[in-house]
Amino acid sequence: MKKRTQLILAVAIIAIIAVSIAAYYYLTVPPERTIKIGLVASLTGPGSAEGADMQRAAILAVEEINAAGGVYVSEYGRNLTVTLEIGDDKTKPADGVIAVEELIKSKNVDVLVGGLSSSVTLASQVPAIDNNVPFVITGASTPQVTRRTDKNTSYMFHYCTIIDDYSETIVKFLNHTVRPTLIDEGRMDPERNLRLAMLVRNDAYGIGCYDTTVRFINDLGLPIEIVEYQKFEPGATDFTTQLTLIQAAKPDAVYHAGLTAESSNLVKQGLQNVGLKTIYIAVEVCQTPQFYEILGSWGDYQILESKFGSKAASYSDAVDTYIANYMQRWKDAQGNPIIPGMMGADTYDAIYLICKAIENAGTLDKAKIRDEIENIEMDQMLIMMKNGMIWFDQNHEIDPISFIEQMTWNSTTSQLTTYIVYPDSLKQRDFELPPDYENEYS
Amino acid sequence: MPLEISLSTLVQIVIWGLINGCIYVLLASGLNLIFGVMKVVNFAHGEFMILGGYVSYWVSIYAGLNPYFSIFVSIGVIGIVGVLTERVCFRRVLGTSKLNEIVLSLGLIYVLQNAMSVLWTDKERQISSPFEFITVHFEIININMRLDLLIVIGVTVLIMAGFYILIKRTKIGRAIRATSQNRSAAMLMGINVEYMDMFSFGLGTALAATAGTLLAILFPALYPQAGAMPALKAFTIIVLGGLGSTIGAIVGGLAYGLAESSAIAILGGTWRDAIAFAILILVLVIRPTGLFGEKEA
Amino acid sequence: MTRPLLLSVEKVTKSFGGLIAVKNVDFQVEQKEIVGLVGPNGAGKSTLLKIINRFYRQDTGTIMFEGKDISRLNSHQVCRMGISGTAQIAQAFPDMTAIENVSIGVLFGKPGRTSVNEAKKKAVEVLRFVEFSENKMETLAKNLNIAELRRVQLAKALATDPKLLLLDEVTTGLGHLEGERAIEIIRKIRLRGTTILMVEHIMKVIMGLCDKVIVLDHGEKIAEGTPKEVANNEAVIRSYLGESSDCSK
Ligand SMILES: Nc1ncnc2c1ncn2[C@@H]1O[C@H](COP(=O)(O)OP(=O)(O)O)[C@@H](O)[C@H]1O
Ligand SMILES: [Mg+2]
Repeated sequence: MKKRTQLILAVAIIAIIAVSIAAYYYLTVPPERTIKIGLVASLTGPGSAEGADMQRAAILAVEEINAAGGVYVSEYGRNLTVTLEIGDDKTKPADGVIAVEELIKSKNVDVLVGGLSSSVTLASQVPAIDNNVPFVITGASTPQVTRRTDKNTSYMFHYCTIIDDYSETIVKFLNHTVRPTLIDEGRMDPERNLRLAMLVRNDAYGIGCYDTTVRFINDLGLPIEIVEYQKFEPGATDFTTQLTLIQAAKPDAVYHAGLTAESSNLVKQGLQNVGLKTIYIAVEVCQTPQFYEILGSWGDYQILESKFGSKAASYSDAVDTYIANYMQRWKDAQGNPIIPGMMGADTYDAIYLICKAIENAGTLDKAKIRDEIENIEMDQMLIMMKNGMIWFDQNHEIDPISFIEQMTWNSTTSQLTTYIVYPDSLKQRDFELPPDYENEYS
Repeated sequence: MPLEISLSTLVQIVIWGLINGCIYVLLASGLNLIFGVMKVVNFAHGEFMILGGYVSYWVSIYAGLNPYFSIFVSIGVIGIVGVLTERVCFRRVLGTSKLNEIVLSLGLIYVLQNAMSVLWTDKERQISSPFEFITVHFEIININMRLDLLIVIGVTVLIMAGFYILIKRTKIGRAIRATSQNRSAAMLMGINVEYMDMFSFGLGTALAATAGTLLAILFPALYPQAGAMPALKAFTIIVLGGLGSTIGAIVGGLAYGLAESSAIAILGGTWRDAIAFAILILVLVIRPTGLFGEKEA
Repeated sequence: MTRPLLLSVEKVTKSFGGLIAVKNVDFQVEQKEIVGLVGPNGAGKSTLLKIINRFYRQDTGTIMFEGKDISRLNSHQVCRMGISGTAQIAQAFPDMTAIENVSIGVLFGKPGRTSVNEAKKKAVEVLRFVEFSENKMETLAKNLNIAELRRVQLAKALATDPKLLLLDEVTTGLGHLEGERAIEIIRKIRLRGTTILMVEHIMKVIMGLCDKVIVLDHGEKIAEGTPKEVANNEAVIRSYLGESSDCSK
């Protein structure tokens, strides 16, 4: 090798080392303080449809807030941007605990949001409780997440409907709307009770739906009886035997409580495989794009209890704007816009309320943030509230309005759309029985 | 659970038992074949089934092939995958120790599941049938049946008849039976037993692929982890029917399907999977050789 | 007179763990010859046969068959080349009938294609040749007695049209009459011109049948020659007297 080549080589090596060292220092300079929000979502497992929706909604909310300049935190005397850290609970309790611990310990999040399945969240909230990290739960429907007595839940907040709300709305809808319709159409003897069948997931959520239904029927003294009660295991894909037994009980309607895939498939199997032509009432948990996608035309005339109508005709400006932005932001692999779901809407609202609470607190101190969430008072956003305001009661729960949607299959667009049919204050259309509806009288 | 079940409800429950049974028959026959010839329990059998479902899913979507025809593509593809798996993985550990074989097939479960996750995500899928909206009415028992159900039964009968003839009547069938009955005698009689291993593994996984396709036509049961439970049930079925017995796997599969739907009907939906373990334990305690097995192996 | 060489075993050694079952054994079998392999229990006779039919791999040494090196081949390959035999413990396919058992040999044990039906005919022929009872032809092997199984096993071996037949203790465990009949059958096979390498305990049988006898003891060849030479060999007498009295009967 020539001397000159050697020299060039030596210089090059020194230069590379120097640049590397400089880059190392440059990159390891402590990053600017941001507001770190940890999202706990089920990105894999049976809750992945809902989890993906929560993730998309959270990203959208954070992007909007940052685009508007971030959140003013007086302690820092300036606006801080928000960063989102995501933990996958894999729809399993043990993995949920791991995900939350990681968000707290290695990602150092300031606040947590999310938590889908009841059983998973009851486990995954424990590290948040133990470390005093405020957690706004936007998915799990069991009231236990803020009411459990074995742990101090003062840092836990529940921003979504609870099981009691679903069953209350459904039972009232059956009594107020379905029963009179059946009587009017000569499908039911006015003297007899409405025959309801229930098919639920064998877990805290599904069984909770059954228990609360029984309770509301009794407490309100409604002319409804449960003629068949069947369960399925989480993740089940075959519901035919249960549906056959339900068919044998000749119900007027079926209230089913599953996650998106379970609920949509059981409706499809009931109509397609078993020939149980009735009204299937799903719970808002299923308010995801996948629900409509799996149901397809089988969803025609079917019912969904909800508090966020992603497919409904316009009922709120805030919701319309959100849906438009969401569909603008998120497209599937084929470039088609993705339709937002309900759990995402909860999560979206929750991120705004968290930022508002931080702004009110003027600090990133977790205890102060907790206090401000507890005392939050702001205008309702996507989820409609009974008094129009977002606030938490003594159980750290909100007071949302839920409603009933009926789906309609549009064969020209090959899409399901929905109309609100209950309560009267929000009603867009009258409830109609499916044309091929069958009950005892058919 | 209403005790006064009507006849048509009973018939429907039986039909559902038999339809699920068809899928179990296909799955268990393949597992049984592999066990018979190689004396290896292929714990990853359920994953081959799901992989077969995915192949049919792909072919029916991208090639627009009727899913019932895509079964043949799936049989071919999974058959080859099975042959390669035997050649590359099982051949190396066969006969070294039972533990090695078990660890290998358990390992395969995770490899295949993760590969499927990467290729198709964790989303549940269903193969849509062109006959989705067609139902057939049976006047005598007053039942409407989806056409697909009848086709599934028909396909299973055809495939199993073919399989039965292959095993009982053909030359290669004799070689398979000889190898499973006495491996060393078979090789001393000029049978290339390693070739039999490859062939049986491929044929067994191809049967699993058929089961996976039919399953995915009927149920949204196509996701990477969906094979675990059915594989366990197939194992229960071959224990029930008697390890190595072809007829045992057929009768056992149908009986198991019936047991499962009656368990749901009588005990409730949460018993669906538990019944597999209950039967397994019961058979092992009462008649370890199974219904069609020999008293002495 | 010298006949062309059929089998040549050269310096073959085989051990199981620490135990050397066959040690540096050399011998040759000529065409149409009947060679007896004798020696006390545990001498390595069965092991040697199983090395020749490739059931076991030897540790060292070479085996030539019809001038070809078969030391690296598998059982099914040498079977098709013409080496077949019976094992000391009768081997059969338990859930197949006698005919099916034998037809496996016809179908797979020799080169060329045979249909399932042809194989069945040939199987019946061979079973008759070994004087297998007509009314048990369709009986499952698992329901046959030892003597019947032995015949099925022999028929299976013959069904492959072997050039070299390896027989391991054909008469052991049979009653006197059955043993006599078995020897008659071996004579019939001999008449067909098949080369035979047989392990046998009963000296009288060896004396009456074999052209040549090889004696193994503790895995080593200690003598080789005509039956007469071997019977008078001192080493052989010593090894037999020192061991169990199995061979004196
Ligand atoms: N598969 C085996 N594993 C271990 N040892 C064996 C095996 N087969 C034979 N042996 C041993 O090798 C020796 C020779 O056995 P074998 O060939 O059966 O003797 P023979 O047939 O002359 O009575 C014996 O000590 C026997 O215990
Ligand atoms: Mg021996």
